[in-house]
Amino acid sequence: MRLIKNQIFVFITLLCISPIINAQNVDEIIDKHIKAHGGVEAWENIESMKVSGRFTAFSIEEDFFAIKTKEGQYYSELNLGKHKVLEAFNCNTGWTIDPWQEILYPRELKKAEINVFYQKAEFFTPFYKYKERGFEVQLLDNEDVDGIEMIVLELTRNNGKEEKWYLDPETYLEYKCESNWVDFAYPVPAETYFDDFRTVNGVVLPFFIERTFWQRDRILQIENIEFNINVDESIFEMPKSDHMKWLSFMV
Amino acid sequence: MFLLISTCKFLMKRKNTMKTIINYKWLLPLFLVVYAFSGFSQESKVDGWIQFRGAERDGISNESLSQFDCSKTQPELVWKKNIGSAFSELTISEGVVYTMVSEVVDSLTGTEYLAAFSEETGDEIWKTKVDSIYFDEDGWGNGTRSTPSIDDKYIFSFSGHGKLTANLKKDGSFVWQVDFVKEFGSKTPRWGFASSPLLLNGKVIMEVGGTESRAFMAFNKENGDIVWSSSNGAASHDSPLLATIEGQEQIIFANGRTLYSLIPEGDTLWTYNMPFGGATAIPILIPPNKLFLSAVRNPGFFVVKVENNKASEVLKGVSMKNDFSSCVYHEGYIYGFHVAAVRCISAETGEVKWTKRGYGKGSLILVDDKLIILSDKGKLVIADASPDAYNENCSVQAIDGKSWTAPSFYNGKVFVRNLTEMASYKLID
Repeated sequence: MRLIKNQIFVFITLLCISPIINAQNVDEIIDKHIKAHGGVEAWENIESMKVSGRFTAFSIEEDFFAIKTKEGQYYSELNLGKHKVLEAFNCNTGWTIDPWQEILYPRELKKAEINVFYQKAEFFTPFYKYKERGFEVQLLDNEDVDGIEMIVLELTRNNGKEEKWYLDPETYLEYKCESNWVDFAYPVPAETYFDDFRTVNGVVLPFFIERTFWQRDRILQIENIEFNINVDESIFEMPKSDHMKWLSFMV
Repeated sequence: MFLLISTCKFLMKRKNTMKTIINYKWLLPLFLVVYAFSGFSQESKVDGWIQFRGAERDGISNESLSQFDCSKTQPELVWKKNIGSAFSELTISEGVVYTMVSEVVDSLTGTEYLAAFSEETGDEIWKTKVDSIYFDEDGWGNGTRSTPSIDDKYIFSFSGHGKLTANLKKDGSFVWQVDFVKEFGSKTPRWGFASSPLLLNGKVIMEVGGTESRAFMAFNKENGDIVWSSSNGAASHDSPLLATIEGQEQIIFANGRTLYSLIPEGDTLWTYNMPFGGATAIPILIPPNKLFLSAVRNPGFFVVKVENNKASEVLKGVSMKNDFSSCVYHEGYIYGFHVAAVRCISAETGEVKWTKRGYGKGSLILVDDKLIILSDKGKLVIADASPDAYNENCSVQAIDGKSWTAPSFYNGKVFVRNLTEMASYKLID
């Protein structure tokens, strides 16, 4: 009888401490992940960045650039097939000019798109200060991706959206991410692959990012990164359409 | 012909030739009837990469690559040539390369052509107009989508606006044309007509997408007359496959959400409700009696087994999702583009054996035991067709710009094209 009581006690104790063990494992992994990206100190010195390079959509490669700030603002200009697309996000909401949707003037981002812009605007890694940001992370069982047993972390953002991150067990850098994306503003699942990590000013970033969602394939090849640039805050605010400008005399 | 000559000699040797001829006069009509209904009336088999996806429409060339050693010899450029816009594959036979090209006059007008080029030099031999140009509203590329088929006497092409045309192989002169939109009520699919002609027993088999049970039709290759029509369904971007299953020659159409099997005479042998519609990749035969189909949908692929003229599903999964390029089957494995990554999966279980990213939405064919891969930006790659691992032998930037057309292979050479340019690369002499 006493033995059974002891066994039950040990079992309950193990159940209680298992999240702590798990949490330690998660934090250890995230710590190594952040160090692999150059470490907290290097990132703390960066307030803004401009990445530029080549963007491939529909098998056509064109120039692109994106501006990001530590606060989570985002602005980009890219060519998607025959159209130029502008996108901006001010940490909470944003706007786009996307002629693919047959709207030639600026429009506000839709709810499903905003979740995507949280991902696009991610300055460093979503695991940095994840607790302070209200994110939750759970360590899942390892999974085989392209023949490598990857460390798998499930990230739940503070908006409740889940992402599954696959970290290379050798480098602790991200290899793949499964998340919710949009295609013509409609939610679709996406797979993003990260490659060609390079060190710039002490921080490590992927210079090759390929994302597939539905039948789409988008590739970002970064050629240049500038840190701590002067950012004109007005780029994040939605401009008036040309039609509205004509009516401005009424205001 | 040998038998005919022998028969004549036999008759001439007889003492009373005239009497003998009278005695044997019943032989002539019998001979003609047998001749008409036998294989002797069929077009002789033309050698080469003669149609969409090659001789058997399976993306496979049986030429040997054993003499090609990537470590010693890189693919060598033979010629490169600017041609007008189109997505058609290059078909090759008897020293001539055939493909579709186009010329834009202004934003509203232009012309689609069938053109013939020297296999050796790439020089144009002839070029003939087949239709007005198909302009793609989304900007993906103008011109013909379909690949011309090579017959012993004719070339059959299918324009972006849906006109099936026969031209003489020797000089490109016009023979006949059928307009699917005007004559059969076909509706132009988004991004244009794209199905490639299938030649069989003196007929041109087409996915027409016409009204009044004219989804699939066969035309007399000599004059374009209708031989048979069958089934209901709109025109898609898929091309029919000719397969022999359980000894029965059958034409496989993936149209809408239905997989059709028709006998060469046009009667429906069996149908199967597919778990997805809108497949663009051609069906693949897994010998002896399975068919593999894939699309960028959920599920991404399925396999049916055909027994006693009935198809039943044996496998489906998400590990292979073909967009517009097709797979090849080789020794128990399927190789193809899973959205934008080259992948090998087991044809038995669907298990992913390996994945190679970086080639965008490219295309591939199989030559001997090598994959000939063309990336969507024109990089030509030769890799082992092995489930063990992705093993790249060598590569060359063969052609620049968006390359959505699968390569062709003939006479030891790879033929590639992008939207506006084509090239020939020699692998072996």
